[in-house]
Amino acid sequence: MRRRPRTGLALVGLALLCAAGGPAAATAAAARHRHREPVRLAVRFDAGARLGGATAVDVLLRLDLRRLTRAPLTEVRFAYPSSLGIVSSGLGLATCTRPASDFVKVLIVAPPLGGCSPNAVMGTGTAIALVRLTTGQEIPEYATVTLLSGAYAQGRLGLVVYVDGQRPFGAKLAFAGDVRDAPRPYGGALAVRLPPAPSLVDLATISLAELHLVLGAHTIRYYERRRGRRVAYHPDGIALPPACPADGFRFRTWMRFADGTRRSATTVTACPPAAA
Amino acid sequence: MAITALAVLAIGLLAGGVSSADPSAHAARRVLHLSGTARLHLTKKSGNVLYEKGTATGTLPGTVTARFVTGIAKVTGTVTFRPYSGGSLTVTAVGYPQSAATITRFNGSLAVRKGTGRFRHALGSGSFSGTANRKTWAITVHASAKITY
Repeated sequence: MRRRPRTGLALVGLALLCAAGGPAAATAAAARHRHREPVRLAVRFDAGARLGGATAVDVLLRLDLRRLTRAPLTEVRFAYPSSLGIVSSGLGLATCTRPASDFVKVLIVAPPLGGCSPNAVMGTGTAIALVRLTTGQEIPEYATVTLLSGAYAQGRLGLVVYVDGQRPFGAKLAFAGDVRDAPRPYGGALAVRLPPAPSLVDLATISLAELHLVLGAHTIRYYERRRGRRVAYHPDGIALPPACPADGFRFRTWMRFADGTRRSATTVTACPPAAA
Repeated sequence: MAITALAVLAIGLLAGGVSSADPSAHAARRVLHLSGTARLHLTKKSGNVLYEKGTATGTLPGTVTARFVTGIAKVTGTVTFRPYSGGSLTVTAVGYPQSAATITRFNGSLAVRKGTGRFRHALGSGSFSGTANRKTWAITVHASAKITY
Protein backbone atom coordinates (compact mmCIF):
# COMPACT_ATOMS: atom_id res chain seq x y z
CA MET A 1 0.00 0.00 0.00
CA ARG A 2 2.85 2.36 0.79
CA ARG A 3 4.65 1.56 -2.44
CA ARG A 4 1.77 2.62 -4.63
CA PRO A 5 2.02 6.37 -3.80
CA ARG A 6 5.79 6.25 -4.36
CA THR A 7 5.24 4.56 -7.69
CA GLY A 8 2.65 7.17 -8.49
CA LEU A 9 5.06 9.98 -7.62
CA ALA A 10 7.75 8.36 -9.71
CA LEU A 11 5.38 8.11 -12.63
CA VAL A 12 4.35 11.71 -12.22
CA GLY A 13 8.02 12.67 -12.13
CA LEU A 14 8.70 10.66 -15.25
CA ALA A 15 5.73 12.20 -16.97
CA LEU A 16 6.95 15.68 -16.08
CA LEU A 17 10.42 14.87 -17.35
CA CYS A 18 8.96 13.51 -20.55
CA ALA A 19 6.72 16.52 -20.92
CA ALA A 20 9.63 18.87 -20.28
CA GLY A 21 11.74 16.80 -22.57
CA GLY A 22 14.90 17.20 -20.47
CA PRO A 23 17.86 19.38 -21.38
CA ALA A 24 17.96 18.21 -24.99
CA ALA A 25 14.38 19.25 -25.52
CA ALA A 26 15.04 22.58 -23.85
CA THR A 27 17.95 23.18 -26.23
CA ALA A 28 15.80 22.23 -29.20
CA ALA A 29 13.05 24.55 -27.97
CA ALA A 30 15.56 27.38 -27.65
CA ALA A 31 16.78 26.68 -31.19
CA ARG A 32 13.20 26.74 -32.49
CA HIS A 33 12.64 30.02 -30.64
CA ARG A 34 15.72 31.51 -32.30
CA HIS A 35 14.43 30.45 -35.69
CA ARG A 36 11.26 32.39 -34.99
CA GLU A 37 13.21 35.54 -34.20
CA PRO A 38 13.06 38.13 -37.00
CA VAL A 39 16.75 38.92 -36.53
CA ARG A 40 19.26 36.12 -36.21
CA LEU A 41 22.99 36.32 -35.60
CA ALA A 42 25.54 33.52 -35.95
CA VAL A 43 29.29 33.88 -35.43
CA ARG A 44 31.91 31.22 -36.14
CA PHE A 45 35.67 30.97 -35.86
CA ASP A 46 37.90 29.06 -38.27
CA ALA A 47 37.36 25.30 -38.21
CA GLY A 48 40.94 24.84 -37.07
CA ALA A 49 40.95 27.76 -34.62
CA ARG A 50 42.74 27.23 -31.31
CA LEU A 51 42.65 29.23 -28.10
CA GLY A 52 45.68 31.49 -28.03
CA GLY A 53 45.90 31.42 -31.83
CA ALA A 54 44.55 33.62 -34.59
CA THR A 55 41.32 33.18 -36.49
CA ALA A 56 38.95 34.85 -38.88
CA VAL A 57 35.57 35.79 -37.41
CA ASP A 58 32.67 34.77 -39.64
CA VAL A 59 29.53 36.83 -38.95
CA LEU A 60 26.14 35.95 -40.45
CA LEU A 61 23.21 38.29 -39.88
CA ARG A 62 19.78 37.33 -41.22
CA LEU A 63 16.65 39.48 -41.13
CA ASP A 64 13.20 38.03 -41.73
CA LEU A 65 11.71 40.90 -43.71
CA ARG A 66 8.17 39.46 -43.46
CA ARG A 67 8.31 39.97 -39.71
CA LEU A 68 10.09 43.32 -39.56
CA THR A 69 8.99 46.86 -40.20
CA ARG A 70 9.13 47.96 -43.84
CA ALA A 71 11.00 51.08 -42.78
CA PRO A 72 14.63 51.11 -43.97
CA LEU A 73 17.43 50.08 -41.66
CA THR A 74 19.35 53.14 -40.48
CA GLU A 75 22.03 51.72 -38.17
CA VAL A 76 23.62 48.36 -37.38
CA ARG A 77 25.94 47.65 -34.47
CA PHE A 78 27.90 44.48 -33.85
CA ALA A 79 29.50 43.97 -30.45
CA TYR A 80 32.30 41.47 -29.83
CA PRO A 81 33.85 40.04 -26.65
CA SER A 82 36.48 42.10 -24.86
CA SER A 83 39.00 39.28 -25.02
CA LEU A 84 39.07 39.17 -28.83
CA GLY A 85 42.10 40.88 -30.30
CA ILE A 86 40.36 43.10 -32.83
CA VAL A 87 42.52 46.12 -32.04
CA SER A 88 45.71 44.09 -31.74
CA SER A 89 45.02 42.17 -34.97
CA GLY A 90 47.03 44.41 -37.25
CA LEU A 91 44.00 44.74 -39.53
CA GLY A 92 43.32 48.13 -41.06
CA LEU A 93 46.85 49.46 -41.42
CA ALA A 94 45.83 52.06 -43.97
CA THR A 95 43.13 54.69 -43.67
CA CYS A 96 40.25 54.87 -46.13
CA THR A 97 38.76 58.33 -46.40
CA ARG A 98 35.79 59.19 -48.58
CA PRO A 99 34.08 62.54 -49.06
CA ALA A 100 30.97 62.83 -46.90
CA SER A 101 28.87 63.22 -50.03
CA ASP A 102 29.71 59.63 -51.03
CA PHE A 103 27.75 58.31 -48.04
CA VAL A 104 24.41 59.68 -49.21
CA LYS A 105 24.31 58.73 -52.86
CA VAL A 106 24.52 55.79 -55.20
CA LEU A 107 27.94 55.72 -56.80
CA ILE A 108 27.58 55.16 -60.51
CA VAL A 109 31.25 54.57 -61.14
CA ALA A 110 33.77 53.66 -58.50
CA PRO A 111 37.24 52.13 -58.63
CA PRO A 112 37.97 48.82 -56.85
CA LEU A 113 37.59 49.16 -53.06
CA GLY A 114 36.15 52.59 -53.70
CA GLY A 115 39.67 53.81 -54.40
CA CYS A 116 40.99 52.83 -50.97
CA SER A 117 44.22 50.98 -50.18
CA PRO A 118 44.01 47.17 -49.89
CA ASN A 119 45.85 47.62 -46.58
CA ALA A 120 42.66 49.19 -45.19
CA VAL A 121 40.59 46.05 -45.67
CA MET A 122 39.44 44.52 -42.38
CA GLY A 123 36.77 42.15 -43.67
CA THR A 124 34.98 40.94 -46.77
CA GLY A 125 31.62 39.36 -47.42
CA THR A 126 28.32 39.41 -49.22
CA ALA A 127 24.90 40.94 -48.70
CA ILE A 128 21.39 40.40 -49.99
CA ALA A 129 18.98 43.29 -49.93
CA LEU A 130 15.38 43.53 -51.03
CA VAL A 131 14.77 46.51 -53.28
CA ARG A 132 11.12 47.57 -52.89
CA LEU A 133 10.15 49.75 -55.80
CA THR A 134 7.38 52.28 -55.31
CA THR A 135 5.52 50.39 -58.03
CA GLY A 136 5.16 47.53 -55.57
CA GLN A 137 7.71 45.26 -57.22
CA GLU A 138 10.27 43.62 -54.91
CA ILE A 139 13.64 42.58 -56.33
CA PRO A 140 16.52 40.97 -54.41
CA GLU A 141 19.91 42.56 -55.04
CA TYR A 142 23.13 40.61 -54.45
CA ALA A 143 26.28 42.49 -53.51
CA THR A 144 29.80 42.04 -52.25
CA VAL A 145 30.76 43.94 -49.11
CA THR A 146 34.15 45.21 -47.98
CA LEU A 147 34.84 46.60 -44.52
CA LEU A 148 37.63 49.20 -44.54
CA SER A 149 39.30 51.09 -41.73
CA GLY A 150 38.79 54.83 -41.72
CA ALA A 151 40.34 57.71 -39.86
CA TYR A 152 40.82 57.62 -36.09
CA ALA A 153 39.08 60.44 -34.26
CA GLN A 154 37.83 61.12 -30.75
CA GLY A 155 38.59 57.64 -29.48
CA ARG A 156 36.85 55.89 -32.32
CA LEU A 157 38.30 54.10 -35.31
CA GLY A 158 36.43 55.14 -38.42
CA LEU A 159 35.00 52.53 -40.79
CA VAL A 160 33.92 52.60 -44.40
CA VAL A 161 31.63 49.88 -45.69
CA TYR A 162 31.83 49.60 -49.44
CA VAL A 163 28.93 47.75 -51.08
CA ASP A 164 29.44 46.65 -54.65
CA GLY A 165 26.12 45.54 -56.15
CA GLN A 166 26.49 42.52 -58.44
CA ARG A 167 23.03 41.78 -59.83
CA PRO A 168 20.57 42.82 -61.05
CA PHE A 169 21.14 46.53 -60.35
CA GLY A 170 24.88 46.72 -59.69
CA ALA A 171 24.56 49.78 -57.47
CA LYS A 172 27.65 50.84 -55.54
CA LEU A 173 27.15 52.33 -52.11
CA ALA A 174 29.46 53.51 -49.34
CA PHE A 175 28.48 53.76 -45.69
CA ALA A 176 30.35 55.36 -42.80
CA GLY A 177 30.79 53.81 -39.40
CA ASP A 178 33.19 53.39 -36.53
CA VAL A 179 34.53 50.99 -33.94
CA ARG A 180 33.69 52.21 -30.47
CA ASP A 181 33.83 51.02 -26.88
CA ALA A 182 30.96 48.81 -25.74
CA PRO A 183 29.77 47.89 -22.26
CA ARG A 184 30.99 44.62 -20.75
CA PRO A 185 31.11 41.76 -21.56
CA TYR A 186 31.77 43.34 -24.92
CA GLY A 187 35.08 44.96 -25.73
CA GLY A 188 33.90 47.05 -28.63
CA ALA A 189 31.25 47.45 -31.26
CA LEU A 190 31.34 48.04 -34.99
CA ALA A 191 28.66 50.56 -35.88
CA VAL A 192 27.55 51.39 -39.41
CA ARG A 193 25.12 54.15 -40.31
CA LEU A 194 22.84 53.63 -43.32
CA PRO A 195 21.22 56.93 -44.29
CA PRO A 196 18.72 56.78 -47.15
CA ALA A 197 20.14 57.92 -50.47
CA PRO A 198 18.11 60.99 -51.52
CA SER A 199 18.19 59.88 -55.14
CA LEU A 200 16.35 56.67 -54.19
CA VAL A 201 13.76 58.05 -51.79
CA ASP A 202 11.04 58.47 -54.42
CA LEU A 203 11.96 55.31 -56.30
CA ALA A 204 12.55 52.52 -53.83
CA THR A 205 13.48 51.46 -50.36
CA ILE A 206 16.30 49.02 -49.73
CA SER A 207 15.91 46.49 -46.93
CA LEU A 208 18.88 44.42 -45.81
CA ALA A 209 17.95 40.73 -45.70
CA GLU A 210 21.29 39.07 -45.10
CA LEU A 211 24.84 40.16 -44.33
CA HIS A 212 27.71 37.70 -44.30
CA LEU A 213 30.98 39.33 -43.26
CA VAL A 214 34.30 37.66 -42.44
CA LEU A 215 36.59 39.80 -40.30
CA GLY A 216 40.24 38.99 -40.92
CA ALA A 217 39.28 36.79 -43.88
CA HIS A 218 42.04 34.60 -45.26
CA THR A 219 41.51 36.13 -48.69
CA ILE A 220 42.71 39.54 -47.46
CA ARG A 221 46.07 40.55 -48.90
CA TYR A 222 48.16 43.44 -47.67
CA TYR A 223 51.20 44.87 -49.40
CA GLU A 224 54.47 46.19 -48.05
CA ARG A 225 57.84 47.25 -49.42
CA ARG A 226 60.71 44.85 -48.89
CA ARG A 227 64.04 45.79 -50.44
CA GLY A 228 62.27 48.05 -52.86
CA ARG A 229 59.79 45.42 -53.98
CA ARG A 230 56.08 45.34 -53.33
CA VAL A 231 55.36 42.11 -51.47
CA ALA A 232 51.92 40.70 -50.59
CA TYR A 233 51.22 39.10 -47.25
CA HIS A 234 48.21 37.89 -45.30
CA PRO A 235 47.68 39.96 -42.16
CA ASP A 236 47.40 38.20 -38.83
CA GLY A 237 43.90 37.12 -38.03
CA ILE A 238 42.09 38.07 -34.88
CA ALA A 239 43.86 36.75 -31.80
CA LEU A 240 41.90 34.50 -29.47
CA PRO A 241 42.64 34.56 -25.74
CA PRO A 242 44.38 31.56 -24.14
CA ALA A 243 41.26 30.69 -22.15
CA CYS A 244 37.58 30.76 -22.95
CA PRO A 245 35.27 33.30 -21.29
CA ALA A 246 33.14 31.60 -18.64
CA ASP A 247 30.00 31.72 -20.77
CA GLY A 248 31.61 31.41 -24.18
CA PHE A 249 32.29 34.12 -26.71
CA ARG A 250 29.23 36.35 -26.61
CA PHE A 251 28.29 38.56 -29.59
CA ARG A 252 25.37 40.91 -30.04
CA THR A 253 23.85 42.97 -32.79
CA TRP A 254 21.56 45.97 -32.47
CA MET A 255 19.73 47.58 -35.32
CA ARG A 256 17.64 50.69 -35.67
CA PHE A 257 15.04 51.42 -38.36
CA ALA A 258 13.83 54.69 -39.84
CA ASP A 259 10.49 54.47 -37.98
CA GLY A 260 12.26 54.21 -34.62
CA THR A 261 11.89 50.45 -34.31
CA ARG A 262 14.84 48.68 -32.67
CA ARG A 263 15.82 45.03 -32.81
CA SER A 264 18.65 43.03 -31.34
CA ALA A 265 19.99 39.50 -31.34
CA THR A 266 22.71 37.71 -29.42
CA THR A 267 24.70 34.57 -30.00
CA VAL A 268 27.32 32.64 -28.09
CA THR A 269 30.10 30.98 -30.02
CA ALA A 270 31.50 27.79 -28.58
CA CYS A 271 35.07 27.73 -27.37
CA PRO A 272 37.66 26.33 -29.76
CA PRO A 273 40.02 23.73 -28.30
CA ALA A 274 43.18 24.86 -26.57
CA ALA A 275 46.41 24.82 -28.53
CA ALA A 276 48.33 21.57 -28.19
CA MET B 1 46.59 51.65 -29.36
CA ALA B 2 48.12 48.91 -27.29
CA ILE B 3 51.41 50.15 -28.44
CA THR B 4 50.61 53.51 -27.09
CA ALA B 5 49.85 52.18 -23.70
CA LEU B 6 52.97 50.09 -23.66
CA ALA B 7 55.04 52.96 -24.75
CA VAL B 8 53.64 55.06 -22.02
CA LEU B 9 54.50 52.54 -19.42
CA ALA B 10 57.94 52.01 -20.76
CA ILE B 11 58.60 55.66 -20.90
CA GLY B 12 57.59 56.17 -17.35
CA LEU B 13 59.97 53.59 -16.08
CA LEU B 14 62.79 54.16 -18.44
CA ALA B 15 62.57 57.84 -18.65
CA GLY B 16 65.99 58.76 -17.72
CA GLY B 17 66.02 60.75 -14.63
CA VAL B 18 68.28 62.51 -12.30
CA SER B 19 68.06 61.12 -8.86
CA SER B 20 68.69 63.52 -6.08
CA ALA B 21 68.15 63.66 -2.40
CA ASP B 22 65.18 65.80 -1.51
CA PRO B 23 66.13 67.99 1.46
CA SER B 24 62.51 68.22 2.53
CA ALA B 25 61.87 64.50 2.40
CA HIS B 26 61.04 62.75 5.62
CA ALA B 27 62.53 59.45 6.73
CA ALA B 28 65.24 59.72 4.13
CA ARG B 29 62.83 59.49 1.21
CA ARG B 30 64.45 60.54 -1.99
CA VAL B 31 63.04 62.20 -5.05
CA LEU B 32 64.06 61.03 -8.46
CA HIS B 33 63.24 62.78 -11.71
CA LEU B 34 63.26 60.17 -14.42
CA SER B 35 63.38 60.66 -18.11
CA GLY B 36 64.26 58.24 -20.81
CA THR B 37 63.32 56.15 -23.77
CA ALA B 38 62.18 52.55 -23.93
CA ARG B 39 62.25 50.42 -27.04
CA LEU B 40 60.02 47.38 -26.89
CA HIS B 41 59.20 44.50 -29.16
CA LEU B 42 56.35 42.02 -29.12
CA THR B 43 57.00 38.69 -27.45
CA LYS B 44 53.46 37.31 -27.41
CA LYS B 45 49.98 38.29 -28.49
CA SER B 46 47.09 36.70 -26.65
CA GLY B 47 43.62 37.93 -27.54
CA ASN B 48 43.54 41.64 -26.81
CA VAL B 49 46.68 41.45 -24.65
CA LEU B 50 50.18 42.25 -25.90
CA TYR B 51 53.32 41.14 -24.07
CA GLU B 52 56.48 43.09 -24.82
CA LYS B 53 60.05 43.41 -23.66
CA GLY B 54 62.98 45.62 -24.47
CA THR B 55 65.50 48.03 -23.06
CA ALA B 56 65.45 51.47 -21.54
CA THR B 57 67.96 54.23 -21.77
CA GLY B 58 68.03 57.40 -19.75
CA THR B 59 68.12 57.97 -16.03
CA LEU B 60 67.68 54.30 -15.20
CA PRO B 61 69.03 52.21 -18.05
CA GLY B 62 68.00 48.60 -17.91
CA THR B 63 65.54 46.06 -19.21
CA VAL B 64 61.79 46.45 -19.53
CA THR B 65 58.87 44.02 -19.68
CA ALA B 66 55.29 45.08 -20.30
CA ARG B 67 51.76 43.75 -20.59
CA PHE B 68 49.22 45.86 -22.47
CA VAL B 69 45.47 45.41 -22.74
CA THR B 70 44.28 46.94 -25.99
CA GLY B 71 40.99 48.74 -26.36
CA ILE B 72 39.40 50.98 -28.94
CA ALA B 73 39.90 54.28 -27.21
CA LYS B 74 42.74 53.48 -24.85
CA VAL B 75 45.37 50.98 -23.90
CA THR B 76 46.11 50.10 -20.31
CA GLY B 77 49.13 48.25 -19.11
CA THR B 78 51.72 47.36 -16.56
CA VAL B 79 55.39 47.97 -17.21
CA THR B 80 58.27 46.79 -15.10
CA PHE B 81 61.69 48.41 -15.31
CA ARG B 82 64.71 46.56 -14.05
CA PRO B 83 67.63 49.01 -13.96
CA TYR B 84 71.09 47.53 -14.39
CA SER B 85 71.91 49.30 -11.13
CA GLY B 86 69.48 47.08 -9.20
CA GLY B 87 65.90 46.98 -7.95
CA SER B 88 62.80 47.29 -10.09
CA LEU B 89 59.97 49.71 -10.67
CA THR B 90 56.49 48.70 -11.77
CA VAL B 91 54.33 51.28 -13.47
CA THR B 92 50.71 51.26 -14.55
CA ALA B 93 49.98 53.27 -17.67
CA VAL B 94 47.05 54.46 -19.71
CA GLY B 95 47.73 55.46 -23.28
CA TYR B 96 45.60 57.03 -25.96
CA PRO B 97 46.26 56.48 -29.65
CA GLN B 98 46.26 59.49 -31.92
CA SER B 99 45.76 57.74 -35.24
CA ALA B 100 45.14 54.40 -36.91
CA ALA B 101 48.15 54.56 -39.18
CA THR B 102 50.64 51.71 -39.38
CA ILE B 103 52.98 53.82 -37.27
CA THR B 104 50.63 55.37 -34.76
CA ARG B 105 51.44 58.01 -32.20
CA PHE B 106 50.18 57.81 -28.68
CA ASN B 107 50.47 59.60 -25.37
CA GLY B 108 49.27 59.05 -21.86
CA SER B 109 50.01 59.04 -18.17
CA LEU B 110 51.67 56.63 -15.81
CA ALA B 111 51.74 55.91 -12.11
CA VAL B 112 54.51 54.21 -10.18
CA ARG B 113 52.84 51.75 -7.85
CA LYS B 114 55.47 49.39 -6.57
CA GLY B 115 59.05 48.32 -6.79
CA THR B 116 61.67 46.06 -5.34
CA GLY B 117 65.07 46.59 -3.76
CA ARG B 118 65.84 50.27 -3.33
CA PHE B 119 62.55 51.10 -5.06
CA ARG B 120 60.36 48.95 -2.81
CA HIS B 121 58.59 52.02 -1.42
CA ALA B 122 58.53 53.91 -4.72
CA LEU B 123 55.56 56.09 -5.60
CA GLY B 124 55.18 58.61 -8.36
CA SER B 125 53.61 59.67 -11.60
CA GLY B 126 54.50 60.93 -15.01
CA SER B 127 53.62 61.07 -18.66
CA PHE B 128 54.77 59.53 -21.88
CA SER B 129 54.45 59.70 -25.63
CA GLY B 130 55.70 57.52 -28.42
CA THR B 131 55.03 55.52 -31.51
CA ALA B 132 53.83 52.00 -32.13
CA ASN B 133 54.06 49.93 -35.27
CA ARG B 134 50.66 48.25 -35.58
CA LYS B 135 52.02 45.54 -37.82
CA THR B 136 54.94 44.41 -35.65
CA TRP B 137 53.92 46.06 -32.38
CA ALA B 138 57.39 47.48 -31.96
CA ILE B 139 57.04 50.43 -29.61
CA THR B 140 59.22 53.38 -28.78
CA VAL B 141 58.25 55.40 -25.74
CA HIS B 142 59.64 58.59 -24.30
CA ALA B 143 58.66 59.07 -20.70
CA SER B 144 59.26 61.34 -17.79
CA ALA B 145 58.22 60.84 -14.21
CA LYS B 146 58.91 61.97 -10.68
CA ILE B 147 59.14 59.31 -8.02
CA THR B 148 59.86 59.16 -4.33
CA TYR B 149 61.42 56.07 -2.84
